[in-house]
Amino acid sequence: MNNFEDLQNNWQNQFGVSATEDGFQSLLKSVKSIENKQKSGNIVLTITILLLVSFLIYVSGYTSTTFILGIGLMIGSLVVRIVIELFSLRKLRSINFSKDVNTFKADLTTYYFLRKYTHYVVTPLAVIVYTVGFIILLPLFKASLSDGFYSYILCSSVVLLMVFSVFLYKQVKNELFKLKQLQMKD
Amino acid sequence: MGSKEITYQKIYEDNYPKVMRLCMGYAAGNEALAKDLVQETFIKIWQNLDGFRNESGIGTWIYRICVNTCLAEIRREHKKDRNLQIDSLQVSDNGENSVKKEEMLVQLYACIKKLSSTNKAIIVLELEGLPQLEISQIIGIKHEAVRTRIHRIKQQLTKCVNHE
Repeated sequence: MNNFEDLQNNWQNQFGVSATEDGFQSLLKSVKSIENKQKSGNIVLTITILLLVSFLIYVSGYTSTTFILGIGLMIGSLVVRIVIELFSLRKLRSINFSKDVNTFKADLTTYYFLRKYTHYVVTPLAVIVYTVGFIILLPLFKASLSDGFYSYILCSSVVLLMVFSVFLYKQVKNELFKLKQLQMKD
Repeated sequence: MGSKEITYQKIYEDNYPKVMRLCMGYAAGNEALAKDLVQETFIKIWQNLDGFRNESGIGTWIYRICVNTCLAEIRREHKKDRNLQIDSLQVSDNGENSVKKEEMLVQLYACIKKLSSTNKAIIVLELEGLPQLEISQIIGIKHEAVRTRIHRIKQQLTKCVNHE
């Protein structure tokens, strides 16, 4: 029969939980690497968006409205989704981890609750618009590309869409699980 | 190393054991998961260090970041994570009681796991021996409410560990 004091005593005497110099150095390395990754990640995303927009401006010189419409829908949906994701990430990073647990929990719950709109409205809409843009371009691809390359583009885009959907499904499932856990009553 | 790094190293050395114990409580004794949570906690400490104003004491501040990090990192349990890594659970007693104490610790982790996220935080802080007033400041509920809750969770936990 153990009383709470025994449990507490046992808890405080757990062995093998002390800090090491190696542990600290490896932690410091991770901290610096995260800071660098955040900087380079932002640069890569900004360049991606700039390239996509420049490409759209460049092709807008073409007379084919079908081409401009198709590529515009594809790039537009991609840019909107990336911007929303960046905004969302910034919002998550701005949540103050040094607040008391109840306030933090409320902030985190609000964040995941709002993410539901991204998952249920914005993302499906972006995927649909992207797919419509791609379908609009298909006749142009068929007319200008060889049969083999056309089939390759068609098959690879279907595979890509499926892989992307599985990735999204896992992310949504994970975030909804977190929301459910946070909303669980004590 | 700059002055921020020196302060950070001191914080790391002074607080690693308690952060590790708290994360082990949240991770139900899964050492790999607990180490991830510890790492994440100290990363958050670094990121928030410039904003620390000593309003609540460094200990309270670190506990808040640690509990909040564990809360934010709630993840689905994979089948392979379900088995506790009993080899890593050791208590500082190499005598005959050691095995018994390790078993008690395993059972304690399993019982903590059954609690809600806030109750988990409350009881782990109580096991750490923190004053109830400080626990109420970390959790953000009234002192009286914490006292009542601790009493209830203690009973629940003791019953569970003793298989009652």
